[in-house]
Amino acid sequence: METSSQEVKTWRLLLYVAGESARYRTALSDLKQVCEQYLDGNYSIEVVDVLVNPERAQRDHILAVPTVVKKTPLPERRLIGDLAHIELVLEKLDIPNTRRAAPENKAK
Amino acid sequence: MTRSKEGIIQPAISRQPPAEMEDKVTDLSRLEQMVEERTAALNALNLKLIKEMTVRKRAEKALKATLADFRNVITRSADGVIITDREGRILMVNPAAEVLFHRKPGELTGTMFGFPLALERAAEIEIVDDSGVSAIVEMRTVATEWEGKNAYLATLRDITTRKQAEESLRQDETRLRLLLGQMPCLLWTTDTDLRHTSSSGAALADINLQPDQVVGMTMAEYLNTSDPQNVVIAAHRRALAGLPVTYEFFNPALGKTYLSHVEPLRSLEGEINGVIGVAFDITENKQAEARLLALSRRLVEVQENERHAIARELHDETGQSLAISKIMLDRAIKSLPETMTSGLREIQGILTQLIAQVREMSLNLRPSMLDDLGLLPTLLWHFERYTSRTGVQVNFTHDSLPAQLPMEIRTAAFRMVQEALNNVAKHAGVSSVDVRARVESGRLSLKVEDHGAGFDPAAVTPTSTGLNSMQERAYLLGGELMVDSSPGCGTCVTAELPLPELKGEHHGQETA
Repeated sequence: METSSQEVKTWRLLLYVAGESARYRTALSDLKQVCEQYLDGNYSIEVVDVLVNPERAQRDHILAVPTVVKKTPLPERRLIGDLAHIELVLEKLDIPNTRRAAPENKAK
Repeated sequence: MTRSKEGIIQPAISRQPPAEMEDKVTDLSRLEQMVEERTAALNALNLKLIKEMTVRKRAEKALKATLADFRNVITRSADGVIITDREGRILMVNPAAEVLFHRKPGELTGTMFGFPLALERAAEIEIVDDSGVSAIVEMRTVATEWEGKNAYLATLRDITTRKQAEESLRQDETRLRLLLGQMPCLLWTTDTDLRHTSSSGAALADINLQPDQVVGMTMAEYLNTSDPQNVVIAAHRRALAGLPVTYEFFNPALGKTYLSHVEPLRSLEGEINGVIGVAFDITENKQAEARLLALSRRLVEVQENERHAIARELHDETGQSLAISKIMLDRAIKSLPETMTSGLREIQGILTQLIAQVREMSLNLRPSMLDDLGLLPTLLWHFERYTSRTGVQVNFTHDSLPAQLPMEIRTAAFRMVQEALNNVAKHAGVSSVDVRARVESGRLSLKVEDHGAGFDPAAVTPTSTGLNSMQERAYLLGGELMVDSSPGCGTCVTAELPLPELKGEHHGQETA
């Protein structure tokens, strides 16, 4: 289904992690950084702790964490591993590789 | 016949046909030659094609073998291997990966794993199962081809044990850093040339050194010494030989005393590859210890002086007054009629007892002959009184007692023998005791030995039996007291007192 040029797409992302570990904090920070820089607020991130909600991890066929699942826009995509690979994260989550202008640039 | 540039065979222009028949024969012959040449060229081409086909077939065979080897390597790999398509769907998974994910053979193929993001560097991921996280895995990804399509190969290495060890090590390091930050100590390591490889510890600040500032400097350079017998260097050499060493070291440049301990530093293979050492600044402790020692010596000295003064007072004043009183009473009794003297005679008896008691008290407090005659006569006198009082015979031997003994040695020796004999009389239950006094290697050795009841030295309280005061006296003079005893096996008390260099002949006058 095509969207009109006026329609703003929203990326709905699920981040599967295991507990409040350093690995979790890094993954969330990396993902937020990418979204902030390239999606201009048009995103939502839901964190799913597989230790708290193992049934959901099982239902969603999560084999390992950190895993990011892009629910929308379709098609659904799934990434696993080091989210600091920005170029690949953009490519695999179908995020346009056009960086949002930095605040200082806007001021100028 | 010539060949044109295009390779077409043409008859030579210069030759003219001699006759018509001859011309026909010549044409046929040329044609046959052309056919032969074309056939040879085709045969050569055919041979070339056959060779190329053989090479290609060999290459295909080799490729198939390589692919088979590749699958074989993946299948047998101890690391988990997953091959996914561009979207992260699993195309192939090896048995090690199936074990890692707790899945049955073939169960994962075709399912969605996710695009493995570990292309530039390894990524750490956690394997999830029903009970939570079952393993920590290091994942590496490379782009590859699988069955003619672009694919990604992810290797998965189980690093759970390594991570647990790293976590344990990190906690140990945190604890160690906390300790080092708080404790006033120096910690260092050296290589086998005694060259510093690290230095740390809160006490570095006290000597104006930064952590690792002395790295690269040899121990001799650090201590500014070329003496191979230097206590620190000698201790490090012994550590390199495999022996842990504890030593005290006074650094005159810093004016500090350290209690140090060095041990061999070993490689994973167990080979000694350096020394690790720790040192605590005990300067204040040593100063306090020295003050305490001086105070204790002064206390003993004051006590002995006081005893001396009281003993002299009792002997010279009280004893003399009582003696004069008794003489005056004796005269009075003689000048009075017998009927009037019965009461006075009772007083006379009391006075006689009092004089004896005062004399005894004076001697017990401090026998004046210890000051006037020395240790040996005093000991002999004391043994006589001891035997008469207790019934315990003293078998005394002595050898090489010096002519002069400092007063503090005399006093300590007499008091220790006195105390040991009191203990024998009170606890040993014997009729005789052996006492030996001798000088060996610049030390006065005193031994009091009985074959009586004995006791368990470990069960003795510090304040009981006077052992504590004996030990204190020996310690104050830089000596030591050893007690060897066990229940039913008698007791042997040995005191060793170091003697200063003495002048004069043996058995002469001792110094006050």
